[in-house]
Amino acid sequence: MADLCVNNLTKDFPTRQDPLRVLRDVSLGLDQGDNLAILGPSGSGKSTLLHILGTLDLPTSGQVQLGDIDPFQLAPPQLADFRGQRIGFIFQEHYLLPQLSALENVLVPILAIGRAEPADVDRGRTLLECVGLIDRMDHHPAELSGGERQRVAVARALVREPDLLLADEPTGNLDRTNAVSVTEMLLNVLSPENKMLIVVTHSQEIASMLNQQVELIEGRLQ
Amino acid sequence: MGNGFHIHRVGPEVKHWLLNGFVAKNQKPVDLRRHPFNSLLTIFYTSSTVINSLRYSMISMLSKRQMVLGAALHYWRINLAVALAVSAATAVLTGALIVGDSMRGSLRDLALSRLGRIDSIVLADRFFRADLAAELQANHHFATQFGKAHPAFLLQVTLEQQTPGQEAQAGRASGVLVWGLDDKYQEIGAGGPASLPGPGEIVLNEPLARELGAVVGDLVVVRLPKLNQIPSDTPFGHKVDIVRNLAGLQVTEIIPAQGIGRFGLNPTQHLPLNAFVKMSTIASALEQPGQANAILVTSKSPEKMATVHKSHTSKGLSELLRPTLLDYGFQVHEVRQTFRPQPDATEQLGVHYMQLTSDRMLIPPEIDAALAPILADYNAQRVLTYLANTIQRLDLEPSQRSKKGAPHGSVLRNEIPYSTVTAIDATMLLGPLSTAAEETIFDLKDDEIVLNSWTAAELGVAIGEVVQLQYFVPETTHGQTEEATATFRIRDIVNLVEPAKPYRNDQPAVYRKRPTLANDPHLTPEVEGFTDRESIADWDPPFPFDQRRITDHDERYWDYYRTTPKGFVSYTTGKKLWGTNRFGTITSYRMPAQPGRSRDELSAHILEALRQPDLHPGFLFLPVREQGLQAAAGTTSFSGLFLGFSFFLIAAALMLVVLLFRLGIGQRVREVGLLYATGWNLRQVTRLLMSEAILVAGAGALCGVLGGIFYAWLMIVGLRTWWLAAVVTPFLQLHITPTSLWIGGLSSVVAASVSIRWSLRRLKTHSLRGMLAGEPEPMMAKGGRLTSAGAYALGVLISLGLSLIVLGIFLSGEAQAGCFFGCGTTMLTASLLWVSRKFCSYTDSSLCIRRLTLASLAVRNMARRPGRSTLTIGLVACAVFLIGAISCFQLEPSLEGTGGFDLVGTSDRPIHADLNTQQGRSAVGLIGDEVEQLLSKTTTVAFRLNTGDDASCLNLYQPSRPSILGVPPLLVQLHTQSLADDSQHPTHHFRWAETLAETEAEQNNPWLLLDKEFPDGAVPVVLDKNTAMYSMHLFTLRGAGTAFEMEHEDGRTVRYRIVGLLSNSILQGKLLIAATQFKRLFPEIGGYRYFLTKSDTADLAQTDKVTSVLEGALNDQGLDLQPAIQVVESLLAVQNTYLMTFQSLGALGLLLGTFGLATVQLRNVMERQGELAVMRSSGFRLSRLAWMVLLENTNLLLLGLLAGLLAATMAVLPHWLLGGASVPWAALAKLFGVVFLVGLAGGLLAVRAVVLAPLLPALRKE
Repeated sequence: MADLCVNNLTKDFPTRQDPLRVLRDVSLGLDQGDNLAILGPSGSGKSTLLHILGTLDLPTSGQVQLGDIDPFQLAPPQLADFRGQRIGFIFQEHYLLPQLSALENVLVPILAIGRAEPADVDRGRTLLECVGLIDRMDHHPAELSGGERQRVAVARALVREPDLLLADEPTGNLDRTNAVSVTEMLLNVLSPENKMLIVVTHSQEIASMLNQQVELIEGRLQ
Repeated sequence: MGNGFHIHRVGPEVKHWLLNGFVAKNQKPVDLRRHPFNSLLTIFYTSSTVINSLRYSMISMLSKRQMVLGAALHYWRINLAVALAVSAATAVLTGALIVGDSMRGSLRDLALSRLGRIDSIVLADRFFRADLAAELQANHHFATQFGKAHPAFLLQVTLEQQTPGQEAQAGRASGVLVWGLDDKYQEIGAGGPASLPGPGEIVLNEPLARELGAVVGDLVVVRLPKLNQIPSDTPFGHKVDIVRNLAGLQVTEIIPAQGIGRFGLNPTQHLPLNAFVKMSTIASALEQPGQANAILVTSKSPEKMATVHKSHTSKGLSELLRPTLLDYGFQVHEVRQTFRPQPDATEQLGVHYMQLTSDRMLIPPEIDAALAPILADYNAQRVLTYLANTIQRLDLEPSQRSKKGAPHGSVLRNEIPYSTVTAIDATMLLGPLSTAAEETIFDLKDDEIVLNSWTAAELGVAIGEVVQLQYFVPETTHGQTEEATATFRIRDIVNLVEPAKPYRNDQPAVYRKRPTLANDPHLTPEVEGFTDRESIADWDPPFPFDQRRITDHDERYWDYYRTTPKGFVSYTTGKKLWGTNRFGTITSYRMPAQPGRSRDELSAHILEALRQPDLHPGFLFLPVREQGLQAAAGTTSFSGLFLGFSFFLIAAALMLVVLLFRLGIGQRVREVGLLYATGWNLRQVTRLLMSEAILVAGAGALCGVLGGIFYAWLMIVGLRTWWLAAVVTPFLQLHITPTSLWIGGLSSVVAASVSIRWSLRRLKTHSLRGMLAGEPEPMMAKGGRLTSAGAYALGVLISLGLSLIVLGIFLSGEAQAGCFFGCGTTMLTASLLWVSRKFCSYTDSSLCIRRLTLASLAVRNMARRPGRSTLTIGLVACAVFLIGAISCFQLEPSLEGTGGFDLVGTSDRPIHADLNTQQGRSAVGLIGDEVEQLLSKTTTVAFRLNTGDDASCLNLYQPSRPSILGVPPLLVQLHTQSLADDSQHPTHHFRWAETLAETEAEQNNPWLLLDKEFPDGAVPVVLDKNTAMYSMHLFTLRGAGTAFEMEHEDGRTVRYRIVGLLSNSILQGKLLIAATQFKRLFPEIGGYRYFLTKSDTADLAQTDKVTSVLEGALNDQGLDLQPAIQVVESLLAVQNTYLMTFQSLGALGLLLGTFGLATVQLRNVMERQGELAVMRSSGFRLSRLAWMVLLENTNLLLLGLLAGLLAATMAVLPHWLLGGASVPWAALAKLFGVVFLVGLAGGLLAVRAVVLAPLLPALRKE
């Protein structure tokens, strides 16, 4: 069995008339080290699929299994712990805390389970080095460019060493050069870590940089 | 562009702004109907619809004015919050002013109501003809200034229920003002009896009936004082027989304490005890038919009743009043001693002169001074006749004495008892001293005496021999007479002519031979019970009298010569021996009868001198209306008091205004950026926003004015009910003046506008990029530690605060209060400045990364918007300061307040007996083993009392003449004794707040300072610090050493200097001077009327027994004792209750603080929704996020608590060091616990928002 196993996933949103089905029998599987780009037009259900994979939303039916755990069987507190340990997120908006430095922002997920220990700080520094921002680690978000902020967000997503990294249009706010650069950096960082990566994007160029691509049209994987 | 611009000239963003306000274009409408608070939101929703339709209707006529109005309406939610904050500030400010107005207005209403139509009162310490009132009214000048003049009796009496067989349970009330009214009494005003009580009837007011427990139909007895008496502190004055009982009066009506039913001579809001009887009832009881002791003068017109006359009333009346000599208590007699050589011969004149005498025996020095020119013109002779208890021959044994001149068959006597001796300087015309050769003796030396021939013969003495006089010391203490002696050499012997017929009943003696000038019983003044008796055996003198000493010779002398003096000394000698009293040194004036100068002419001249407006001996002119209206200004400026404590609340409200306005600007910062981007400059944007702010503030102020009226009404209701102890009686009514409303409204608009303008200064530092990106406020620059300017400002504030603490220790009164508020403000500002700069420093990334924990992240979140967080802390701090600081001023009654005394009391009539001696106790009937056993363990300190206004905090009227106590030496001794007992009873003496003590003895016993002498002649005075500061407003800086002048009722101005201030004592409201000074200043006041009693044991049952025994024995004098600790409690209750009212301001502050805290936290959470969503997606449990937000809230709350606590501690420090404040730790802990919980509850709203926030919309920025 694949490390990430998705079976017959459907998602309906209630409306005033019939429920709106956004995902229809979506199934996929990923192993450690795989990376996947999900393409599709707006409203095709890409982000919804990503949010369900990231346990931020519940499926109407179907199963998601990461390793040997079905996260939707977990109680909310355990689900939060599971998400923190196993899943990392990168969003289009970086949502860095403006009052914290780059390094501190990277360490924020650590605070979900306690305080930042020296080992965490070292890992944060390493990650910032990986994303090319070691010399900017004391800078605040306001002092960083858009691409740099997104790199910090990437480092933040990886600080708790998740098995699965989910990126929802991570380069949507960046120009082409920066977008390519950030994606390259992301793949480079993940490569030695042997993580699974799923990226939702509109960009064929970005998608082509990943080793698998699927397209989601009207809620179905093509 | 002119006044406005057209909509087509601006871009689509501005159009959007105009149509929707500063709302993001993609903002989705919220379906408010799905919200849990449906009903509330329906109102909001409907309001929103109305407001939107208003806004759309204005678009067609767009101008800047409409832009302002449009934005104000669109952002109605945040503007409503701003307006509410402004209205809170306005309400507090206006409310404080209205409370002050209401206090003044109510005092004034009460003063006017209880006076009825009475404008002034002429009050005498004697009885005068009731017709004097009619004569006064008949004066045509009177009609131009006044209405009517009614004679009346106004007497302070004691009333007792008359319940035969149940005397012990009978209700009793002292300090009752009994009115003797004539049949036109209704002209003096409303509120009196419905009909004039008939003979044997009495009407009571409700408080009196309650005190007595009397109902209509009950019988009561009134104990009336006798007036027109010889001063009781002389040996010839009565000490005990001073009241007449008016028994069997039936209560026919009980009237409410309103109008005249609430009348009192001194302005006070207390409910007086009043009784009303027919004038003739009192007159007949006192055997004073046709007499009165007061004239009630009414106002001319209702219009004049509510205006303060410029002190013309008393002066006008004193010029118009025309008493006769009898009314003043003086008489001019024509003394004629005649003789008939033969029974059928023509009567021939022997002695003939005019004599001026007083019904009080002695003529006071001021009258002597006033009459001096007239008396000089009439060649008047001053006479001082005194009683020699014994005239004793000293030098020879009886057997050696000469019998020359002695009556036939007489036995020589060693001494003659009870003789009158006259001090007089002989004149050619009036004698009475002449030699055998009929030469007048002018030059009597100090040690010389002239005896009359009868006395010389009785004693067997001759010229040149020595006699000794024994006499009473002219002034008594505690009614105890003391004897003194003086030795004289006999200079000469004046001849007495023996009458052919003695005195019989009212018939004078009949002379066959011309009486000598020394044959004059008129040289002795009349003394009731003494000179008016037929025989010495009938004497009932007020002094100790031993009947056994009287011999037949003495009785015979009485029959033939009556009060003819047996000896004469010079006037100077007499004055030296018997004039050492405070009542006078003259018993009569004698003026030779001169042809053409009649008695009437002399009387007219004397009257003219006595009727001087500033003299009128015995008459007081009380401009009660003028005094009442002036006193209605109140002792304390309630507006000032409430404003002082409201200051922090107003500051908190303004902080909230700034906070909310800044939140509003933060909400619409993109649109502000857009205005900049489309060519608006800072000034234009600021002006636009300021216009909106003023509009909103104006609307808020308008509501606030109404809120202020409500707030004031609520305070008044509180002062009439829950906080009644602060004002004693529920007399307060709401009074609103337009001035207060204008001041409250405009001040708030100005203050809010200034605050908002200050908050807009940050627009300057906000980058256009940041605004367009939606950054609510500019981020603090990295490394924002204290700049040198900030550090300097902080240093200045702390130094200023510390200086105010030190100043507060050395100052007192209102200056100390100023230090309290000043110190509180500076320390609060310093705390906030420090916190603000500290927040800035948290943005410094040089901080150690290892500190990154959830708690530190919470702190960093607070520091993210330093201004916002600082203002929130300030809001909480203001509330904490108010609540905390005020709590420290709550006082508990202590033994220091009572001075260690168990009982305090006053009497209606003076008590002369020394209750500390068995003799004194016996004199007032306190006899029996049980009583003796009880009272021998009790010490009573008796004070002389000059009754005046109550200047304690129980009286809200401004006192003009407080009561004055003469402090007896016993109190000074007791203080010294209590110091010695300090090891066992450390609080058994009064606590001193300040003194002028210099020596160790004075420091140990500051009562000694009352004997201090000042170069300016000021009278040393001790008073309670609260009385000096708040009632009399005597000083603002330091009290001890302050001199002040006070005009007494008789028009004299006396200068006093404060030598000591007592702290929260039972003696509040009174001026304490040395007994010697008291006697000098108030010679007419005899006896003691204020008492402090302490028992050796602190047994309550014992104290009750003492109360019962003393009140029972001294019923006639109207003694009323109360437990001292109760009196202290009632005095402290006023301060404590005021503090409670001010604590309610603190509660309001707490409400504002909580509202601010909750608003800020909610806003913070809403602004950080995306960040919080990412944190949730990073594995943060909801509980952990909630904990983080709660930590932020708790930190803000704790910082607010600490800042407020620090400011309160610093502000209270001087008072605490001086003992004026104490820290109620337990109560404070509870209070701050409540503050913390309330604040936390506010923070839970933000936590709730975190928990309920949907995750995905936040991530999608929806």
